Amino acid sequence: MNIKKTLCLVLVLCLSLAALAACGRKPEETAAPTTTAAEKTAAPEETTAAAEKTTAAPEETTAAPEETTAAPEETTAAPEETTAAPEETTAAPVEEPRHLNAASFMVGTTLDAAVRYQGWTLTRTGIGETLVKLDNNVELEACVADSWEWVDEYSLKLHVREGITFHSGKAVDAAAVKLCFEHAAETNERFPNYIDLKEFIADGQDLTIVSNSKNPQMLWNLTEPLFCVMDVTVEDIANKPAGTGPYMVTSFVEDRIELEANRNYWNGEVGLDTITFTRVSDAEARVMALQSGELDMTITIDHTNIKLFENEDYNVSVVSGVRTNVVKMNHARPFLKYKELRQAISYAIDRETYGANITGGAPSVCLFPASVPFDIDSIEGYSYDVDRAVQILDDAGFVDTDGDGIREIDGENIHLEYYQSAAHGSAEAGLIAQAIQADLLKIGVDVEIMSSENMSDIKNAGLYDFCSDNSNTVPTGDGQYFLTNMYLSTSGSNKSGYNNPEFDALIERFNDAYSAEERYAIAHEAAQLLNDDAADLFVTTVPMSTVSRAYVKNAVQPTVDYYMITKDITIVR
Amino acid sequence: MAKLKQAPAGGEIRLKRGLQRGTVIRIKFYAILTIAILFVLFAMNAEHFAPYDPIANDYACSLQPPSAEHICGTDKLGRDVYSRILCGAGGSFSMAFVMLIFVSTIGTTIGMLCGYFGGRFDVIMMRFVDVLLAFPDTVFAIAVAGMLGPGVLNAVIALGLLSWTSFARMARSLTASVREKDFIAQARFNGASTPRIILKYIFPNVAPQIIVMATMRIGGTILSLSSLSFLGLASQPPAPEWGVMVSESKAYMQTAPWMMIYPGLALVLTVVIFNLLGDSLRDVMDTKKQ
Repeated sequence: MNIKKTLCLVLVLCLSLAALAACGRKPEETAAPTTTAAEKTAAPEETTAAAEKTTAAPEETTAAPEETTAAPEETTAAPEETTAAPEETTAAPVEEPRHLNAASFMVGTTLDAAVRYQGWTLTRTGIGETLVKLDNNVELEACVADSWEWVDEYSLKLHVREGITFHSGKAVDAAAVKLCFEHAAETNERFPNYIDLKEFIADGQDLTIVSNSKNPQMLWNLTEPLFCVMDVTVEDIANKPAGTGPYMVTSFVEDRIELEANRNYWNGEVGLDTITFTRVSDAEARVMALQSGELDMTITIDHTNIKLFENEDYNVSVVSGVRTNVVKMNHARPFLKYKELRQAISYAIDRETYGANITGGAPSVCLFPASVPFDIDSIEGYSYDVDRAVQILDDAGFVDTDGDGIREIDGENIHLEYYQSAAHGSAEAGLIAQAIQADLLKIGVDVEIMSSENMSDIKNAGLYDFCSDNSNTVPTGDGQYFLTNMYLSTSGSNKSGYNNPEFDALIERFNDAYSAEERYAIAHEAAQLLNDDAADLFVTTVPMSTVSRAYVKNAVQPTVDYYMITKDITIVR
Repeated sequence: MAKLKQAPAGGEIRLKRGLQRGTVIRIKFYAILTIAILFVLFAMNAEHFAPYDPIANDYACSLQPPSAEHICGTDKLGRDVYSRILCGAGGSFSMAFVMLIFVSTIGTTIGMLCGYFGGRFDVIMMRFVDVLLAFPDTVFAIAVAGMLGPGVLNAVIALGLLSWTSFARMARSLTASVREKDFIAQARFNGASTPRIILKYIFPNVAPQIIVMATMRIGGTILSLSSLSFLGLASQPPAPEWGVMVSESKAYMQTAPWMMIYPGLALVLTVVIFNLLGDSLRDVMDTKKQ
């Protein structure tokens, strides 16, 4: 018995000593940087990036941080850079290669842009580029294609910039782009959502996309990362793809990409020599990795945590972005089918306070964020006006007759079920739910909050009254896709039963609108109509953030979250 | 307890040998029992002690660190963490308590029937129990709670589906050993009916161990329920449940650590109290020797 006890004690002592020793260890002493890596055994779940779909939030899963610092390449990239504390880096040699450790919440299992949402990883890492892209005003900008025109209502002709080569060395011409898009059409089931393809015609540098139907949004849809221009003739498209971007892949294993500068980049100097790009799915883990020096740059930090980085050691870049916190209202349910109730609810929620205290975003006027060029300022939204909400309910005859504080409709208490995704990564959806619950109780509407792991099932089955959502409402810089998908009465994705013939007719007009101005005007009108009908609750915009170490320069959060690593990002010590 | 005296075990010998030790154990037990009872009374009447409304949002004092007004700080919506912890205690405890009573009743009944009758019924039941025991219980509970949908009742059902098995096992083996004792044969000889034998002669010999086991399970069950709440499968916001609170605090681990520390501490304390209670109850009943 005594021997056992002594042995136990010795063991515990050894362990604590070892732990202490590990804490005090200087980075120089560590043979490999692995010791600092927060290596965890949690299964690296596959984020299929379904989260990125127009209707869903970039869900950060709770998987543990993956090892981010150890890679064979790094022996050449001076390990201090990745593991040392700031004061130790001052002694670094001047001609040290500029290496960046970056992480996002998704990387994926393949680098084939045509698979699922993997194109997003390619545009975010600067490997792939699309023919046209979106600038920070969410407007079209030339990229691999330098000009475009509509030949007729069905055919869009794009001119591929001359003198660009793929990372493989092959020149980029219309035929190569055609091959690439054909691969995308075969591989990705979303392809028909973007282009109703009849054929591609390649002629030198001119690519003509011919559509079966009138489809003017096709031009904007080409900004979707699915349409990354890649050399599909390379040997291993899944692991060593060849794009046209500022960085090319040197190696790829699941969720970890090693990149190096593309010295032949068509659009000027590239700011870094090498990049290690990894997936750290949990927002909190990214925060800690940035603090420990494991990462130099990351995106999507919870807005409360931003203040940890607002000092001279870090750069913080926050924009309001293209996402909106939407609370879907199910018009097919017994209570929310009444427009008056929906309007009253819209007046009863205090968006300003939610924005300032919960999400860090700006209060939403309509489904589109103010960053889009749809003249959002002149849209009439819902202000916080409890009296008005009460007035609307009273006028509609929805009053509390039994004195329990909850109003009734047809003798039944207004009881609404609010589904929110079980807290993963960010607690915001749950907090918004609780804030709305408290606000609605003030006007005599009872809300019950339910958490669900699998929101898509709940949504698809239409089982909710409210459900929280985080939507990119202008996924391709154009309003048609989201409006059609979510609100057209005949759309398969319209699960909330919104049905307004006037709205359907308005959406129809998109198909004849070929100029940006015309399309913006229709989107504007549609947004106003959705507001008038109180279609959903548009709560606040979702701020998007890029945080980097002070020595990383030009790491700016773009408005559109297709992009992250740009040629301008560099390291200056 | 009076019925215990019927047990022919060497109770008197034990008493003589360990009087000193027995007294110490008993004092320890009563001390812990007092703490536990105080805890339960406190938890059941938490609303009277809580300085604030646990679910009232007050954005003006969002994320305030512990201070004189809010001794455990406030959370993101400005709710007082201390009040939420207090009010969360009652829910956690009573759910665990109700569940254990239910589960131990079912488990004991099945176990005693199996142990007493034996035969085919026993074999089938015990193989079924074996199958259930093969499931990792937390994973099973997550799966079941996920299927049933979120809610405290569903979480309790999910946990209960597996936890009756250990009670059944225990009751069965105890019954099987008691069944062979002479006083049972005597009772049968005197013409006692089967229900009477089971209830009057076997049950009193099984009950103490079951009670000890159930008591020892309280802490673990509270913890399991909180885990399910943490995952969003049991208590739903804005209920002031400890698991929910820890889950909500995850994003503020660095900016507002008090949101995580205090509910965590409360959880640890509760589990420790009930585990100690279970341990000392076992010592008092000295079930080890039976």
